[in-house]
Amino acid sequence: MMSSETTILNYQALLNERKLCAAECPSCKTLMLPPRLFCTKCHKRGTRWKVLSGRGKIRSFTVIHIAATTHAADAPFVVVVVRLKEGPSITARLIGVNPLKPEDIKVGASVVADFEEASGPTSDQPDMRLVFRPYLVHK
Amino acid sequence: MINVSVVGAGQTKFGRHPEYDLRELFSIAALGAIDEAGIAPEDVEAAFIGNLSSDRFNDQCHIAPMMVDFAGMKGIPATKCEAACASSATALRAAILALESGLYDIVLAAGVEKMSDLPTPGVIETLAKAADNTFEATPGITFPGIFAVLAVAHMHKYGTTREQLAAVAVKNHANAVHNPLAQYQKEITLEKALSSRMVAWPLGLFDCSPISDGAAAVILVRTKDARKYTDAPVKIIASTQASDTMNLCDRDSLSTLYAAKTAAQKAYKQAKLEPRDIDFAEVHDCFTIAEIIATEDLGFFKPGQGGPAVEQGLTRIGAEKTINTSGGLKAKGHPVGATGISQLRELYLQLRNEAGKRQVPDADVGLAHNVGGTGASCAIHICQRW
Repeated sequence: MMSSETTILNYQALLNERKLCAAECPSCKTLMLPPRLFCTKCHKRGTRWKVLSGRGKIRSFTVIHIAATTHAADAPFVVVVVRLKEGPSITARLIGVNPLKPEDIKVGASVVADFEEASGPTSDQPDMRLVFRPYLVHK
Repeated sequence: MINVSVVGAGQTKFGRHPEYDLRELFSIAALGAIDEAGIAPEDVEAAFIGNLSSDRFNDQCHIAPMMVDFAGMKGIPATKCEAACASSATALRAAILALESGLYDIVLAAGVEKMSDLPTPGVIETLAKAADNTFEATPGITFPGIFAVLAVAHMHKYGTTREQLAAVAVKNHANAVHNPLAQYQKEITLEKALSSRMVAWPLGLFDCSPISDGAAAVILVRTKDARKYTDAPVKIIASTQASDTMNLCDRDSLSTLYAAKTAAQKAYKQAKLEPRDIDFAEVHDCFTIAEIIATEDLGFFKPGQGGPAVEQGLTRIGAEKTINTSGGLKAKGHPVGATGISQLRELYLQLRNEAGKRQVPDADVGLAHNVGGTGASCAIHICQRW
């Protein structure tokens, strides 16, 4: 998968292998997440996958209390925008925190990527979805 | 400079309209505008109609021909414009460009949305589709959730408080008391606003605009012809639009909307005006935080000062910078595709001294700020008294 085209479909396939990857421009080394086929800076094609560490910091967050029908069973849950160590930023769920204590969730706090089976219709091989959990130093 | 003027405006009451079909709502607004311009439906040469999602809300695609036919304008070119909650401001821009091209002399710009046909969870799901479905709606973020993320970032950066957010709701409800077409014509207290049930932390129910049905329409002509239709046309002197990334995560800042700032800078340049020249504005307060950010993006207050400004009453009618005389999306209602034209109608009323008890004294210049989706679209119009 690592040599595959940097499409959204392949991004999901890599998540299914528990790898969080960004698209990297072969020319100017710009990292793009969500992935893109063309570099946002120099517009060149031929971007390649780069595996990210999954480490990052919370830029902002919310706790969804009233969810869309498709996510209602999970509410309340936390959604974070995370700035990854390598530079790009991504939106995902934050697990391992109490959604009823939002005051304990801090902008700037360290988090680490994890993967969990996406809820919804079951199939033989359910998609994995990216989540974050607090990064604990003593772990 | 734009050389187009408004010579008629119409709007349905905003709110729940189980008694009316989408086309009926449209026809009430469109014929209201046509009557006021003193023309007949047959005189309209083209129509641009804003609508977010008739396909999901009402199980109906390709609505523009259906709308104009039902309102007596069968045969004219009729085009739907979609930019999420900024749909009808982009319809307005399309109408302005059509007039500026010289192809037409009389154009209708309108917006219509009937959201209440779907039960609330379906509405939440539909609105969430105006965010990036793959990367942001799929983790479960909702529209209130998008603006809650902006609120948390704004609070973190500037110390903005929930009380300041609530002050937006209290002010806009107070203004809507004097707007007979508003969904809620009822004041609320700060305590009530703060104690409402949580939707997406830190936004409670009273931080959110409601689910609404409604339509709004205007008749536009070139400014040199405007006095043929009315003694008090309202000039549109700027019309701009900008875009941004769909994803919040792709943005450098989460406490401002780049598309709004860009469209505003271009609008001021087009109108040869500064933010201080704007007497009043209708801004896109889909959520309370959005009004605070809007007043900063438009240059009315410095970044971080939007919260204190509303708390200190600086945005009340007749104060330093009057914001949302109509009651805003919060209290007037937000039938998403109709909102942009409804904002323009408020400018039209104010600049003709027809706004009744919510009239801004000595208002010569008004601005309308209409945001689409996550802020990925923003269209701005500036109007001037004749």
